[in-house]
Amino acid sequence: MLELLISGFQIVLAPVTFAFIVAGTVLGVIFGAMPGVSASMAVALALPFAYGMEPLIAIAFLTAVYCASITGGGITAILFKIPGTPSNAPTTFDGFPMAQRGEAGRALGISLVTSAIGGIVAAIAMFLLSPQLAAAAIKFGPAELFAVSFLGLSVLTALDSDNVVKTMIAGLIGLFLATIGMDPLLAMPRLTFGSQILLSGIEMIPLMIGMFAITEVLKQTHKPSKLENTGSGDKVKTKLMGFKEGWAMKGVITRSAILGTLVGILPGAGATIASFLAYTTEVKLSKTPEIYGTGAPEGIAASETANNAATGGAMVPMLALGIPGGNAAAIMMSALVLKGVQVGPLLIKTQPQYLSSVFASMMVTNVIMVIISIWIAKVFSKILKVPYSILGTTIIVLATVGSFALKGNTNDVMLMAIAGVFGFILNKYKFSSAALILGLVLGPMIEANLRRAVQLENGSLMNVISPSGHPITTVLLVLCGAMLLFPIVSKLFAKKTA
Amino acid sequence: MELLFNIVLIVFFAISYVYVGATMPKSSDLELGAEQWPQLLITALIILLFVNIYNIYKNTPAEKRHFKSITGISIPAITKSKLFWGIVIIFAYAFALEPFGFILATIVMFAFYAVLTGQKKPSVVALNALLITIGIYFVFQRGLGIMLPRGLGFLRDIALFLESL
Repeated sequence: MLELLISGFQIVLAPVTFAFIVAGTVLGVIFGAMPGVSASMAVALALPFAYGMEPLIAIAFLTAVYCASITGGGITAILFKIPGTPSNAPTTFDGFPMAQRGEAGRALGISLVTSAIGGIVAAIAMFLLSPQLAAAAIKFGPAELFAVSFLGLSVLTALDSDNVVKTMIAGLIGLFLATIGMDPLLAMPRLTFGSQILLSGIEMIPLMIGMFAITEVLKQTHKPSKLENTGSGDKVKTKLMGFKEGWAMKGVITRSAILGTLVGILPGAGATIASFLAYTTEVKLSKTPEIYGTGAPEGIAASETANNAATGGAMVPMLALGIPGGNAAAIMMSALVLKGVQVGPLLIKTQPQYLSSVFASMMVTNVIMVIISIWIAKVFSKILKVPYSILGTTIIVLATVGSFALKGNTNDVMLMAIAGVFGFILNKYKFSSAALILGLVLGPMIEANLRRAVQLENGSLMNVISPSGHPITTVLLVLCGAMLLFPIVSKLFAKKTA
Repeated sequence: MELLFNIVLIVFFAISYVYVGATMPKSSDLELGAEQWPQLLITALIILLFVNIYNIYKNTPAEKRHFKSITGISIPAITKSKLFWGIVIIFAYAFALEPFGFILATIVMFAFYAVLTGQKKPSVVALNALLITIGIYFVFQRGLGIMLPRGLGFLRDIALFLESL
C-alpha cells in the first residue's frame, strides 16, 4: 500500500505531470466557473488536450479538470447566483445571500476549503475501497458482471423522479444506440442500415461532447440566461475559513463528505444528487432550519463538501469495475479506453499505478485548487465580462476540435452536431441526457455479459438469474429492481397519503 | 410537437425492429441472439413511448387537445429563430471543415455565430474570430501535435506552410 502511494506521488509530482495537473486545475476552475459549462462539459472540452498525452498523465490531467470544475462552479454560484455546474445549485441558496450582505469573500473561503476537504476525504475512500471492490469483481463470471453493469442502470428512475417514463426512455435509447455497429459476439454489422460509418458503432466522445457542449450553446442561443451580479464581484477578496469556523461545522462537513462519497460511488448518481441530498439532510438535522436559505455558512459547507466528495466516489466504480460513476467519469473512461487502457477489475491488479496516480492527482488538485481559485475569484468578474457571443462560439470551436481529433475525420464532427441537436430536443421535452449517456456507456457491458451468461447456461435466462446457480446475480438484480422501483413507489405512496 | 417527436421515435424504432430481425442471422435456442437483445430494447422502448403519449394526452387540457401545433407549423417563423440559424451554422461548419480547412471554416463560422448571438461590433467579431482561431490552431496543431483539417487546393498549401513554420 505504501509503495503504491509513493509510486502515485512520484508519477504526479514529476515535473511534466505536475505542470499538466496545474494546467488542468486552472482550466477546470475557469470552465467550472463559467455559467453553462458543466463539469462533464469541462472534461469533454479538456479531452482534446489529453489526446496527445501518455495515459497516466491524461488521467491525472482529466481528474484535475473534473475536481477543479466542481469547485470553480461555486464561485459564480456565490457571486452571481448562477451555479457554474448543476451541482453548485444548492450553494446559491446561502452563498448569494451572504455575498449580498457583503460577505462574498467569507462565503468563497468556506466554499473552497470545504470543497478541498470533501475531495480529499473521497480520494482516501477511493484509494481504500477500489482495490477491495476490484478484488471481489475479479471472481465474477459473466452473469455477475451483467448484474453489476445492470446495477448502473438502477439509478435511472432516481435521475429525474418527476419524469420516470421519459428518463427510462432516454436510458433505453442509450442502450439501443450501443447496439449499433459490429455485433460483439458474431462480429457482424448490426443496425448499420448499410452505412460504412456506423460499422464502428456510435462514437461515445463526439456524442457526449455534442450532448453537453453543443446542446448547452444551442440552449443559450435560444434563450440566453442573464447574470445577476451582487455588485461585489469586481473586488472580491477571498477569506479562507479558519480552524475555529471549520470546527464549528465539523458535523456538517463530516456528514456531507460521507454522503457525497457514497452517492458518488453509485453508478449514475453524481455530484448534483450528492449536493442536494447533503443540503436537504442538513436542513432536516439542523436545530435552526430557518437560517438555511438566508445566508447560512453551513449550507455552503454541506453543498460544496458533498459535490466534491462525489467526484472521488465516482472514480471507485470506474477504476474497480469499469462502470463510470457519472457523466464526467464516463468521458474519462472513454478517453482511457481510447488510449488502449482496459478499465475494469483487472486494471488495479495489473496496473495499480492508475489507482495511485488518480489518488495522488486528486490529493494534489484539491490542495492547489484552493490557491488557484482564490486567484481566479479575484479576476473572475473580468472573465465574466466576456460576452456569450464570444464564449459560446469558442465552445463550439473547442468541441469541434475535440470531436475531430479523436480519429481525424469530420464524420465525428457531424455526429457531434447531430447529438447536439438531439440533446436539445431531449432537453426541451425533459428527457434526461444523462440517462441516455449512462445507457450508451453501460450498454456494451450489459449485452456482452448477458449473452455470454445465457450461452454458458445453454440458453436458459432463468438459470442466469436463479439464486441457486448465481446467488450474487440474484441479490444484485433484486437490489436493482428495488432501486428502480423505489422512486416510483415512494411517489405513489406520497400521493396516497396526501 | 412533443407528440410528433414521440411518434417519429416510434416509427424509427419499429423500422429498426424489423430491420434487425431481417438482417441478422436467426439465433439458436441455446443463446440470446444478436437480434434478440436490440429487439428486446425496442419492444420496451415502444411500450414506454406509448405510455408517454398517453401521459401527454392526459396532461393536456381538453381544449388544447388538437393538432394545430403540428399542422400550424410555420416555416417562415422557424427560419426567423436564432436557434434554427444556430443549427444551420453548426452543420455548415461541420460540412465546411473538410473542403475549406480548419482556419477558414472556423473564422467564418465564428463571425456568423458571434453576430447571431448578439455581438454587434464588427471589429470585436473580426478580432476575436481571428485571434481565437489562430490561438486554438497553434495550441492544438503545434503544441499538442493534433492534425486539424487542412482544406483543399491552395488552402491545403497554406496549411502545409503553417505546419512547416
